[in-house]
Amino acid sequence: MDANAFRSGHMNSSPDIFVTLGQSIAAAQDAAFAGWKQHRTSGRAEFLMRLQADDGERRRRSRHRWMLGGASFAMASAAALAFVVHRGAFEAGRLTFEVNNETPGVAQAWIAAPLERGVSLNFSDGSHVDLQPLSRARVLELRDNGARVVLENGVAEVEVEPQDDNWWVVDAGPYRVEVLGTAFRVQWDAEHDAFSLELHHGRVKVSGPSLPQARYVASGENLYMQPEGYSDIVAPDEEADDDSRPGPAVVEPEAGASDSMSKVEEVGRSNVRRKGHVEDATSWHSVSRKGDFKAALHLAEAEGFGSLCASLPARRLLELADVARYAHAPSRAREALIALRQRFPGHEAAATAAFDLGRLSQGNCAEARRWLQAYLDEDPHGKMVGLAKRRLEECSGGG
Amino acid sequence: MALTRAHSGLQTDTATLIERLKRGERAAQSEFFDRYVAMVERVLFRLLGPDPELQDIAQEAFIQALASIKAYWGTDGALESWLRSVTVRTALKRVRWRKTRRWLGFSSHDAHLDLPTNIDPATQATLARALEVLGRLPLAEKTVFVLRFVEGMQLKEVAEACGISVATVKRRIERSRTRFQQLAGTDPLLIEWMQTHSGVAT
Repeated sequence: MDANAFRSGHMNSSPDIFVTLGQSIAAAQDAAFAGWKQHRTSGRAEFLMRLQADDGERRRRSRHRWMLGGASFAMASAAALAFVVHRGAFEAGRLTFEVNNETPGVAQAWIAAPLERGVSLNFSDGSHVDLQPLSRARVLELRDNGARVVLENGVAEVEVEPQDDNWWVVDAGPYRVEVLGTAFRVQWDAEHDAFSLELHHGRVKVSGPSLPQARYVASGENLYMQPEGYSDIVAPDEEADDDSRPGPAVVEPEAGASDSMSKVEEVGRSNVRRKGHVEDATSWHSVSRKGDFKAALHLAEAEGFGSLCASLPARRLLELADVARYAHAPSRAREALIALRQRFPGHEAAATAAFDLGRLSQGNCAEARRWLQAYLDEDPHGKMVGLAKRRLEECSGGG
Repeated sequence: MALTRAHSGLQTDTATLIERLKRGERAAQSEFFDRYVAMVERVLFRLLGPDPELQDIAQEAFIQALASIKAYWGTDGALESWLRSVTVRTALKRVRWRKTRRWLGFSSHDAHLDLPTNIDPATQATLARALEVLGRLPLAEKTVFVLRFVEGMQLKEVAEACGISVATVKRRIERSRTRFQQLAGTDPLLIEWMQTHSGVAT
């Protein structure tokens, strides 16, 4: 054995020996890598969360650059004054929030609910985000017409005050819930990459992994997304008097969408077919499911809004009221809700209509109180009981 | 209740994916990650071994790639090798940031690498020693050695991944080979293994 040949580096080394060595190492590493990988998640959820945080940070830096650039453009003293005034005005329009009605909330700071109790975030526009115990979130961005809340892990009960030109976003892990004025429960389980959304009321738009298109979720529907692309869509329960209620949240697939995605939509469509109700794609209801509420209301008007109020089943009337509300036609929304209550007294949807009427009675506390109390009386164990009570308290507090 | 498999397997063609990434679509970013995460992690595993921060570095590599995707004008087929070069640069940046060679790949971490049990103990021991020797190479030399001989990349690919010329890659490979031999020359197991696999005069 000539060890000196090695030490001097003068071994008769064809490059192949290193290829062989490399291949042996690669084979050993591949086996070790497979074992290493077995005990880990894909990391996709963490990656998407980091990406979102990164986006937010970039926007923040960009905003700061813009503000500093503006300040340096003018004369020093005047610019400094202008900057301060401008910044003050800029901040003044934004929402603020309090934590548990005690501490002023700080944007971008993490808020963790302890084991023994939840944490409530109360926004200046009347919206609320209630974090359940052991949940963790932060308000990433505050604007004058809404906020962006990131739910890192856990469960949040959200109620957004409906306003014109709302901008409310809840990021739950890699999923984005765009809120259109509603109340819902959202859960993100970071450990298992599982997302769930239970919509108590109203309508939201959800986008994220395994959803090539944004998916609208309507009142009473729930959406569950699990790792490996499993989606579990739960429609409202059937009711004997209401056989034309909508199926699960369905988005028509775009041309070229994958077969597997089409299967999801087929399930949605097949549910609709089972109910013996095949819907015209140009009906107000179909159009509303694509999120174009103004066009949907226009179609409902063309069909005869009054006759729809007189003929639609209870749940569909609630949807018609939602469409009118989101199309900024509160009087039409009220008309549909009143019709519902007159035609279906004692129906669960009638109680929900009372809650909606309470929400629509902004600026008229006496009327709001009457409707909210009606809701509490008619559906004392309903999903919006907590919200109704809180609104009643606010109404009482505000006179 | 309807239960079905959604579009997790959906794979748009690469050109479309690049366009969507440039538009900043979140779904495309997710798909990009799903499509290439195995490759990125494998390359990092080659360089760093079972590093406790490996997944973190992989995510960082994707974030770096997406931050510069708008400037990517390569061909569709080059996306993977471009991402691989971003991955290598991200790994090297992290290693330099740690300011200590022991974190690089095969040194302390690879000493604990679980080698497969289906190979004979002698080979296991030899591989463990080879990894140890590799860990003692200078960072630049070890990187090109691993990419060329372990990952099996072409010289041009190694050059792109490291951001250096092909000529420099060749020089570094030659130096790493010589240094490896020198270091291995003190280890009887490695001497024997290399004798078996080369034509060393005895």
